[in-house]
Amino acid sequence: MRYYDSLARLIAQFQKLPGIGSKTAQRLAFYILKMPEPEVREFAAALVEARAKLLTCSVCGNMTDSDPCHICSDPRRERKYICVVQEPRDVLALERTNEYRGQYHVLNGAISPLDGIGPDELNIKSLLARIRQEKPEEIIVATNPNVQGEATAMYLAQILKPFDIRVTRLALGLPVGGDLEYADEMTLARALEGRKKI
Amino acid sequence: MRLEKHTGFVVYGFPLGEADQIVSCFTSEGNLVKFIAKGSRKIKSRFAASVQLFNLAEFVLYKSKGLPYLRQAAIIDSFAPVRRDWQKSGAAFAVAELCRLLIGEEAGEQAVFRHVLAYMLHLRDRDYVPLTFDAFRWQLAAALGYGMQTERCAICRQAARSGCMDWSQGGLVCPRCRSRTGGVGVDVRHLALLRTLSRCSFAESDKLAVNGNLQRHCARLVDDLIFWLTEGKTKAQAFRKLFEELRCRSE
Ligand SMILES: [Zn+2]
Ligand SMILES: [Zn+2]
Repeated sequence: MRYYDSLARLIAQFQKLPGIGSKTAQRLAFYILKMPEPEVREFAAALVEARAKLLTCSVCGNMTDSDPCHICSDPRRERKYICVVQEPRDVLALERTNEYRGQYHVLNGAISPLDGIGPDELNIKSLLARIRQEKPEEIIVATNPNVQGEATAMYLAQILKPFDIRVTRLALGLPVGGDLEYADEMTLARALEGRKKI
Repeated sequence: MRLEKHTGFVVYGFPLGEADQIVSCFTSEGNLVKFIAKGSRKIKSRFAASVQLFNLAEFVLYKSKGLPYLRQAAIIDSFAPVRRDWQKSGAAFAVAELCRLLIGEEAGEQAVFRHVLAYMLHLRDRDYVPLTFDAFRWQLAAALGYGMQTERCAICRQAARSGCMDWSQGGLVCPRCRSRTGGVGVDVRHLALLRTLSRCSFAESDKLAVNGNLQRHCARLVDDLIFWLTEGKTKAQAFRKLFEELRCRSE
């Protein structure tokens, strides 16, 4: 293989990643070429190892390297709450708050008819099975504040009705910081709806 | 450097990179305009709300090479009652998809824009009625130049009271010509209902008293027409049952 063939191959691999165009792929490829060889080996090994070891938690659907994941198997976490999120990275975001001590359930997406994704494509059946078995007190729906996330929340609220369980939705409203006058009307309207007693 | 202003519906958002989106917008000029909304998937982005699906908004775009970039946005109507209602959301998803699949970049379909706007406003203010959704789609096809024959055979031009609908022939095909073509069977009641749907307003179709079987057959016919028009590319229309069987609203 000639030098330029292997470079082209590397660029083509980067281009497979979401949101990476040909220019960024080129920049990344040249960056890798300038890295010391041990670092490149470590980088490649991390990719291969992550792929080989990471699996889906059979309880919550989160990405993990042990099944059940460290959250599902942690006896100190409260069983009363299940927080339903769209993606594994949403679990990371909520964990960073250090505020939430309950369980999670990862749907792996949201209802999105324009992309052909309905409830059957999501990790919802396992949520129902889990609710039947674990009998939590509250389901916190933390799907994205957009049309698809809202539709998913409405759907969940509806199918959870027979369980006679508290179903809540993360408050939608003002982001922290900044001036009120700059908030858009959709956000302000939601913040008004979600106002609370002080 | 060139700035252009468009008013239109957001009909699709495709994630790009870390936090950007390629937004497709059906504009009042009757065209499908695509642009990049930088950072619009970040919670605090000033564009996040304005590029939400279904919004009617005014967009100022900056054009140089390639896709234009969003510079300013102002929401005209966010159709909140549609977003909060499961059935209305289902219809709006289907509307957005039809705009995206059937409108070209320089289509100039202003009448179609007015038709879509009228239906979205109707959906915002009234209850969702399945038959009216079909009236919307049947009339949309006509506005795009696919008005279908319901009185005469599209092949032999003789008056006919039954037969089948063959969209590629231009609508009704009489029993004598039928052997030459496929299509969905129709009788005199189906044809009468389709004719009514062609000319009634949305408020009128809300009030039409039509029995369940007739309505369902009509829905199948319009589904079939949409499938043909979009060359089978539609995804959202398949969720109709899911949206019609559940009825719920968020607070
Ligand atoms: Zn788990
Ligand atoms: Zn004929």
